[in-house]
Amino acid sequence: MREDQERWLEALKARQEDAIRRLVGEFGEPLRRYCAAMVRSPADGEDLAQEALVRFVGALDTFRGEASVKTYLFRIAHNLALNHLASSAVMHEELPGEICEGPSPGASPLHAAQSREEGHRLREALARLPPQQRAVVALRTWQDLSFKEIGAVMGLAEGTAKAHYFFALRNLRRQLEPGDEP
Amino acid sequence: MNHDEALRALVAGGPLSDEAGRHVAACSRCREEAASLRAIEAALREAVPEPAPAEWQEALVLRLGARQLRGSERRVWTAPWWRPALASAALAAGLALAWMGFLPFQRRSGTASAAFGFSPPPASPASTAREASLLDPSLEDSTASLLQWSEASAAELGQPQSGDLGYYLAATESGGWNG
Repeated sequence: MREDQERWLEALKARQEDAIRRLVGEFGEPLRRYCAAMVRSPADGEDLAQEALVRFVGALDTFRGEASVKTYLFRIAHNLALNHLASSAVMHEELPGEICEGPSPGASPLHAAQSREEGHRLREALARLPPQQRAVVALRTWQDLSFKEIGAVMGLAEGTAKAHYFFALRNLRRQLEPGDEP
Repeated sequence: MNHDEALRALVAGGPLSDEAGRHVAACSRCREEAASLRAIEAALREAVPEPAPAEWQEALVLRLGARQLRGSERRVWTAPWWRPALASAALAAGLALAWMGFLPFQRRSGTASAAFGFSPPPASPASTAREASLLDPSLEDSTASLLQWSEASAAELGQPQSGDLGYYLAATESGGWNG
Protein backbone atom coordinates (compact mmCIF):
# COMPACT_ATOMS: atom_id res chain seq x y z
CA MET A 1 0.00 0.00 0.00
CA ARG A 2 1.33 3.41 -0.88
CA GLU A 3 2.32 5.69 1.93
CA ASP A 4 -0.10 8.37 0.80
CA GLN A 5 -2.95 5.90 0.83
CA GLU A 6 -1.99 4.64 4.26
CA ARG A 7 -2.09 8.16 5.63
CA TRP A 8 -5.44 8.74 3.98
CA LEU A 9 -6.89 5.55 5.42
CA GLU A 10 -5.63 6.46 8.87
CA ALA A 11 -7.26 9.86 8.53
CA LEU A 12 -10.46 8.14 7.42
CA LYS A 13 -10.42 5.97 10.51
CA ALA A 14 -10.18 9.13 12.57
CA ARG A 15 -13.11 10.55 10.56
CA GLN A 16 -11.09 13.56 9.49
CA GLU A 17 -13.19 15.75 7.26
CA ASP A 18 -10.60 16.14 4.49
CA ALA A 19 -10.21 12.39 4.22
CA ILE A 20 -13.96 11.87 4.12
CA ARG A 21 -14.35 14.53 1.44
CA ARG A 22 -11.68 12.83 -0.64
CA LEU A 23 -13.45 9.50 -0.31
CA VAL A 24 -16.81 10.95 -1.28
CA GLY A 25 -15.35 13.06 -4.08
CA GLU A 26 -13.45 10.19 -5.60
CA PHE A 27 -15.93 7.35 -5.18
CA GLY A 28 -19.34 8.76 -4.26
CA GLU A 29 -20.58 9.51 -7.75
CA PRO A 30 -19.11 6.40 -9.46
CA LEU A 31 -20.65 4.19 -6.79
CA ARG A 32 -24.00 5.94 -7.05
CA ARG A 33 -23.95 5.57 -10.82
CA TYR A 34 -23.07 1.91 -10.59
CA CYS A 35 -25.67 1.11 -7.94
CA ALA A 36 -28.37 3.05 -9.79
CA ALA A 37 -27.63 1.08 -12.95
CA MET A 38 -27.68 -2.18 -11.07
CA VAL A 39 -30.95 -1.63 -9.22
CA ARG A 40 -32.45 0.56 -11.95
CA SER A 41 -33.49 3.26 -9.55
CA PRO A 42 -31.59 6.50 -8.95
CA ALA A 43 -32.99 6.88 -5.44
CA ASP A 44 -32.10 3.34 -4.42
CA GLY A 45 -28.73 3.80 -6.09
CA GLU A 46 -28.03 6.79 -3.86
CA ASP A 47 -28.97 4.83 -0.77
CA LEU A 48 -26.87 1.85 -1.72
CA ALA A 49 -23.83 3.93 -2.61
CA GLN A 50 -24.11 5.68 0.71
CA GLU A 51 -24.42 2.37 2.50
CA ALA A 52 -21.37 1.02 0.68
CA LEU A 53 -19.28 3.97 1.81
CA VAL A 54 -20.54 3.76 5.36
CA ARG A 55 -19.69 0.07 5.48
CA PHE A 56 -16.28 0.68 3.99
CA VAL A 57 -15.44 3.31 6.58
CA GLY A 58 -16.84 1.11 9.32
CA ALA A 59 -14.72 -1.84 8.20
CA LEU A 60 -11.46 0.02 7.67
CA ASP A 61 -9.77 -1.89 10.45
CA THR A 62 -10.18 -5.08 8.44
CA PHE A 63 -9.01 -3.57 5.14
CA ARG A 64 -5.53 -4.92 4.49
CA GLY A 65 -4.90 -3.25 1.16
CA GLU A 66 -4.71 -6.52 -0.78
CA ALA A 67 -7.27 -5.17 -3.21
CA SER A 68 -7.42 -1.56 -4.29
CA VAL A 69 -9.82 0.70 -2.44
CA LYS A 70 -11.80 1.06 -5.66
CA THR A 71 -12.19 -2.68 -6.15
CA TYR A 72 -13.04 -3.18 -2.50
CA LEU A 73 -15.67 -0.46 -2.55
CA PHE A 74 -17.27 -1.71 -5.73
CA ARG A 75 -17.35 -5.21 -4.34
CA ILE A 76 -19.29 -3.96 -1.32
CA ALA A 77 -21.60 -2.00 -3.61
CA HIS A 78 -22.05 -4.96 -5.93
CA ASN A 79 -23.05 -7.25 -3.08
CA LEU A 80 -25.43 -4.64 -1.69
CA ALA A 81 -27.01 -4.23 -5.12
CA LEU A 82 -27.43 -7.98 -5.56
CA ASN A 83 -28.99 -8.25 -2.12
CA HIS A 84 -31.32 -5.41 -2.99
CA LEU A 85 -32.33 -7.11 -6.22
CA ALA A 86 -32.81 -10.42 -4.47
CA SER A 87 -35.05 -8.85 -1.87
CA SER A 88 -37.24 -7.11 -4.40
CA ALA A 89 -39.26 -8.28 -7.33
CA VAL A 90 -37.12 -6.61 -9.96
CA MET A 91 -35.14 -9.80 -10.50
CA HIS A 92 -38.10 -11.27 -12.32
CA GLU A 93 -38.26 -8.64 -15.01
CA GLU A 94 -34.99 -9.58 -16.63
CA LEU A 95 -34.49 -10.54 -20.19
CA PRO A 96 -33.34 -14.09 -20.78
CA GLY A 97 -29.67 -14.56 -19.84
CA GLU A 98 -26.70 -14.64 -22.13
CA ILE A 99 -28.41 -16.63 -24.81
CA CYS A 100 -27.85 -14.87 -28.07
CA GLU A 101 -28.78 -16.20 -31.37
CA GLY A 102 -26.63 -15.85 -34.42
CA PRO A 103 -24.77 -12.62 -34.93
CA SER A 104 -26.45 -9.91 -36.88
CA PRO A 105 -23.71 -7.76 -38.31
CA GLY A 106 -24.39 -4.24 -39.35
CA ALA A 107 -24.01 -0.95 -37.60
CA SER A 108 -27.29 0.73 -38.51
CA PRO A 109 -28.47 1.40 -34.93
CA LEU A 110 -25.16 2.79 -33.92
CA HIS A 111 -25.15 6.15 -35.62
CA ALA A 112 -28.24 7.23 -33.75
CA ALA A 113 -26.80 5.94 -30.50
CA GLN A 114 -24.48 8.93 -30.43
CA SER A 115 -27.28 11.34 -29.69
CA ARG A 116 -28.60 12.12 -26.26
CA GLU A 117 -31.89 10.44 -26.95
CA GLU A 118 -30.08 7.36 -27.97
CA GLY A 119 -27.98 7.60 -24.86
CA HIS A 120 -31.17 7.42 -22.86
CA ARG A 121 -32.35 4.49 -24.95
CA LEU A 122 -29.04 2.80 -24.42
CA ARG A 123 -29.31 3.16 -20.65
CA GLU A 124 -32.82 1.73 -20.81
CA ALA A 125 -31.50 -1.20 -22.79
CA LEU A 126 -28.74 -1.64 -20.24
CA ALA A 127 -31.36 -1.72 -17.50
CA ARG A 128 -33.01 -4.67 -19.19
CA LEU A 129 -29.88 -6.80 -19.19
CA PRO A 130 -29.44 -9.52 -16.58
CA PRO A 131 -27.66 -8.24 -13.45
CA GLN A 132 -24.32 -9.90 -14.19
CA GLN A 133 -24.16 -8.40 -17.66
CA ARG A 134 -25.34 -5.05 -16.39
CA ALA A 135 -22.65 -5.08 -13.76
CA VAL A 136 -19.87 -5.96 -16.18
CA VAL A 137 -20.92 -3.28 -18.65
CA ALA A 138 -21.25 -0.59 -16.01
CA LEU A 139 -17.90 -1.46 -14.46
CA ARG A 140 -16.14 -1.65 -17.79
CA THR A 141 -17.55 1.36 -19.60
CA TRP A 142 -18.29 3.79 -16.76
CA GLN A 143 -15.58 2.85 -14.28
CA ASP A 144 -12.93 1.73 -16.69
CA LEU A 145 -12.06 -1.33 -14.63
CA SER A 146 -9.99 -4.07 -16.20
CA PHE A 147 -11.58 -7.49 -16.59
CA LYS A 148 -9.34 -8.73 -13.81
CA GLU A 149 -10.68 -6.01 -11.50
CA ILE A 150 -14.23 -6.70 -12.63
CA GLY A 151 -13.68 -10.36 -11.79
CA ALA A 152 -12.46 -9.36 -8.34
CA VAL A 153 -15.49 -7.14 -7.78
CA MET A 154 -17.97 -9.75 -8.91
CA GLY A 155 -16.19 -12.82 -7.61
CA LEU A 156 -15.68 -14.21 -11.10
CA ALA A 157 -12.79 -15.45 -13.15
CA GLU A 158 -11.39 -12.92 -15.57
CA GLY A 159 -12.49 -15.02 -18.55
CA THR A 160 -16.04 -15.21 -17.23
CA ALA A 161 -16.16 -11.45 -16.88
CA LYS A 162 -15.04 -11.12 -20.51
CA ALA A 163 -17.73 -13.54 -21.62
CA HIS A 164 -20.41 -11.62 -19.73
CA TYR A 165 -19.23 -8.44 -21.39
CA PHE A 166 -19.32 -9.91 -24.85
CA PHE A 167 -22.84 -11.27 -24.44
CA ALA A 168 -23.98 -8.03 -22.87
CA LEU A 169 -22.84 -6.02 -25.88
CA ARG A 170 -24.58 -8.44 -28.18
CA ASN A 171 -27.78 -8.21 -26.18
CA LEU A 172 -27.62 -4.45 -26.29
CA ARG A 173 -27.11 -4.45 -30.02
CA ARG A 174 -30.13 -6.67 -30.48
CA GLN A 175 -32.25 -4.37 -28.36
CA LEU A 176 -31.12 -1.30 -30.27
CA GLU A 177 -31.79 -2.64 -33.70
CA PRO A 178 -34.62 -0.92 -35.54
CA GLY A 179 -37.96 -2.64 -35.15
CA ASP A 180 -36.88 -4.20 -31.87
CA GLU A 181 -38.31 -1.55 -29.58
CA PRO A 182 -38.93 -2.81 -26.07
CA MET B 1 -11.07 -21.21 -33.22
CA ASN B 2 -14.66 -20.44 -34.11
CA HIS B 3 -16.19 -17.10 -34.90
CA ASP B 4 -17.53 -16.35 -31.40
CA GLU B 5 -14.26 -17.14 -29.68
CA ALA B 6 -12.36 -14.85 -32.00
CA LEU B 7 -14.99 -12.14 -31.62
CA ARG B 8 -14.92 -12.41 -27.83
CA ALA B 9 -11.17 -12.01 -27.87
CA LEU B 10 -11.49 -8.98 -30.14
CA VAL B 11 -14.10 -7.28 -27.94
CA ALA B 12 -12.19 -7.96 -24.75
CA GLY B 13 -9.25 -6.05 -26.15
CA GLY B 14 -5.65 -6.85 -25.51
CA PRO B 15 -3.37 -8.86 -27.74
CA LEU B 16 -4.96 -11.61 -29.82
CA SER B 17 -3.56 -15.09 -29.85
CA ASP B 18 -2.02 -16.24 -33.12
CA GLU B 19 -5.03 -18.40 -33.81
CA ALA B 20 -7.52 -15.61 -33.17
CA GLY B 21 -5.45 -13.24 -35.25
CA ARG B 22 -5.51 -15.62 -38.21
CA HIS B 23 -9.29 -16.02 -37.90
CA VAL B 24 -9.94 -12.30 -37.74
CA ALA B 25 -7.67 -11.67 -40.69
CA ALA B 26 -9.68 -14.10 -42.77
CA CYS B 27 -13.22 -13.34 -41.56
CA SER B 28 -14.85 -10.10 -42.69
CA ARG B 29 -18.05 -10.88 -40.79
CA CYS B 30 -16.05 -11.12 -37.60
CA ARG B 31 -14.44 -7.74 -38.20
CA GLU B 32 -17.78 -6.10 -38.99
CA GLU B 33 -19.43 -7.44 -35.88
CA ALA B 34 -16.50 -6.45 -33.72
CA ALA B 35 -16.77 -2.94 -35.13
CA SER B 36 -20.49 -2.76 -34.34
CA LEU B 37 -19.95 -3.99 -30.78
CA ARG B 38 -17.16 -1.51 -30.25
CA ALA B 39 -19.45 1.25 -31.47
CA ILE B 40 -21.99 0.25 -28.85
CA GLU B 41 -19.23 0.24 -26.27
CA ALA B 42 -18.24 3.77 -27.30
CA ALA B 43 -21.86 4.93 -27.16
CA LEU B 44 -22.19 3.46 -23.67
CA ARG B 45 -19.17 5.40 -22.48
CA GLU B 46 -20.93 8.56 -23.66
CA ALA B 47 -24.23 7.58 -22.06
CA VAL B 48 -23.12 8.24 -18.51
CA PRO B 49 -26.12 9.13 -16.33
CA GLU B 50 -26.54 12.59 -14.91
CA PRO B 51 -24.58 13.12 -11.69
CA ALA B 52 -26.36 13.35 -8.38
CA PRO B 53 -27.02 16.83 -6.97
CA ALA B 54 -24.22 18.33 -4.91
CA GLU B 55 -26.44 18.16 -1.83
CA TRP B 56 -26.27 14.39 -1.96
CA GLN B 57 -22.51 14.44 -1.65
CA GLU B 58 -22.66 16.96 1.17
CA ALA B 59 -25.17 14.82 3.03
CA LEU B 60 -22.89 11.85 2.49
CA VAL B 61 -19.92 13.72 3.93
CA LEU B 62 -22.00 14.61 6.96
CA ARG B 63 -23.15 11.07 7.45
CA LEU B 64 -19.66 9.64 7.18
CA GLY B 65 -18.26 12.32 9.46
CA ALA B 66 -21.19 12.22 11.81
CA ARG B 67 -19.16 10.76 14.66
CA GLN B 68 -16.76 13.68 14.58
CA LEU B 69 -19.46 16.33 14.20
CA ARG B 70 -21.57 14.91 17.01
CA GLY B 71 -18.45 14.73 19.13
CA SER B 72 -17.63 18.37 18.62
CA GLU B 73 -21.20 19.37 19.36
CA ARG B 74 -21.08 17.33 22.52
CA ARG B 75 -17.84 19.01 23.54
CA VAL B 76 -19.42 22.43 23.15
CA TRP B 77 -22.48 21.62 25.19
CA THR B 78 -20.84 19.61 27.93
CA ALA B 79 -17.74 21.74 28.43
CA PRO B 80 -17.21 22.11 32.21
CA TRP B 81 -17.51 25.90 32.29
CA TRP B 82 -20.96 25.72 30.75
CA ARG B 83 -22.45 23.59 33.45
CA PRO B 84 -22.34 26.07 36.36
CA ALA B 85 -23.28 28.93 34.03
CA LEU B 86 -26.32 27.05 32.76
CA ALA B 87 -27.29 25.95 36.25
CA SER B 88 -26.95 29.50 37.60
CA ALA B 89 -29.00 30.95 34.77
CA ALA B 90 -31.73 28.37 35.25
CA LEU B 91 -31.79 28.95 39.02
CA ALA B 92 -31.93 32.73 38.60
CA ALA B 93 -34.73 32.47 36.05
CA GLY B 94 -36.67 30.12 38.31
CA LEU B 95 -36.29 32.38 41.34
CA ALA B 96 -37.30 35.46 39.36
CA LEU B 97 -40.40 33.75 38.04
CA ALA B 98 -41.35 32.48 41.46
CA TRP B 99 -40.83 35.91 42.97
CA MET B 100 -42.86 37.66 40.28
CA GLY B 101 -45.68 35.21 40.69
CA PHE B 102 -45.62 35.08 44.48
CA LEU B 103 -45.69 38.79 45.32
CA PRO B 104 -49.04 39.74 43.79
CA PHE B 105 -50.56 36.62 45.27
CA GLN B 106 -49.27 37.49 48.74
CA ARG B 107 -50.50 41.06 48.56
CA ARG B 108 -53.91 40.34 47.13
CA SER B 109 -55.00 37.45 49.29
CA GLY B 110 -52.95 37.87 52.40
CA THR B 111 -53.15 34.13 52.83
CA ALA B 112 -49.86 33.19 51.34
CA SER B 113 -47.97 33.65 54.59
CA ALA B 114 -50.43 31.43 56.37
CA ALA B 115 -50.19 28.88 53.68
CA PHE B 116 -46.39 28.81 53.91
CA GLY B 117 -46.39 28.84 57.71
CA PHE B 118 -44.70 32.13 58.52
CA SER B 119 -45.83 35.61 59.58
CA PRO B 120 -44.82 38.72 57.70
CA PRO B 121 -43.06 41.57 59.60
CA PRO B 122 -45.25 44.56 60.46
CA ALA B 123 -45.64 46.82 57.47
CA SER B 124 -44.01 50.23 57.59
CA PRO B 125 -45.97 53.28 56.39
CA ALA B 126 -43.63 53.51 53.39
CA SER B 127 -44.17 49.97 52.38
CA THR B 128 -47.93 50.28 52.81
CA ALA B 129 -47.94 53.28 50.49
CA ARG B 130 -45.73 51.35 48.07
CA GLU B 131 -48.06 48.40 48.03
CA ALA B 132 -51.01 50.67 47.50
CA SER B 133 -49.29 52.12 44.49
CA LEU B 134 -48.69 48.63 43.11
CA LEU B 135 -52.40 47.99 43.22
CA ASP B 136 -53.05 51.17 41.26
CA PRO B 137 -54.79 50.06 38.07
CA SER B 138 -53.05 52.83 36.18
CA LEU B 139 -49.81 50.80 36.40
CA GLU B 140 -50.51 48.29 33.70
CA ASP B 141 -47.01 47.09 33.12
CA SER B 142 -45.96 44.58 35.77
CA THR B 143 -42.31 45.22 34.97
CA ALA B 144 -42.79 48.89 35.76
CA SER B 145 -44.49 47.89 38.98
CA LEU B 146 -41.65 45.70 40.03
CA LEU B 147 -39.10 48.34 39.20
CA GLN B 148 -41.03 50.86 41.24
CA TRP B 149 -41.28 48.45 44.14
CA SER B 150 -37.58 47.72 43.96
CA GLU B 151 -36.64 51.40 43.98
CA ALA B 152 -38.90 52.07 46.93
CA SER B 153 -37.40 49.17 48.87
CA ALA B 154 -33.90 50.44 48.23
CA ALA B 155 -34.87 53.92 49.44
CA GLU B 156 -36.42 52.47 52.56
CA LEU B 157 -33.25 50.55 53.37
CA GLY B 158 -31.08 53.60 52.75
CA GLN B 159 -29.25 52.16 49.76
CA PRO B 160 -28.39 54.16 46.67
CA GLN B 161 -30.84 53.74 43.84
CA SER B 162 -30.06 52.54 40.38
CA GLY B 163 -30.48 56.00 38.86
CA ASP B 164 -27.82 57.48 41.13
CA LEU B 165 -24.24 57.92 40.09
CA GLY B 166 -23.36 57.20 43.71
CA TYR B 167 -24.95 53.81 43.39
CA TYR B 168 -22.54 52.86 40.63
CA LEU B 169 -19.51 54.39 42.34
CA ALA B 170 -20.26 52.82 45.69
CA ALA B 171 -20.66 49.45 44.04
CA THR B 172 -17.45 49.61 42.02
CA GLU B 173 -15.36 50.95 44.87
CA SER B 174 -16.50 48.33 47.28
CA GLY B 175 -16.18 45.56 44.72
CA GLY B 176 -19.85 44.63 44.90
CA TRP B 177 -23.25 46.05 44.25
CA ASN B 178 -24.25 45.92 47.89
CA GLY B 179 -21.36 48.05 49.12
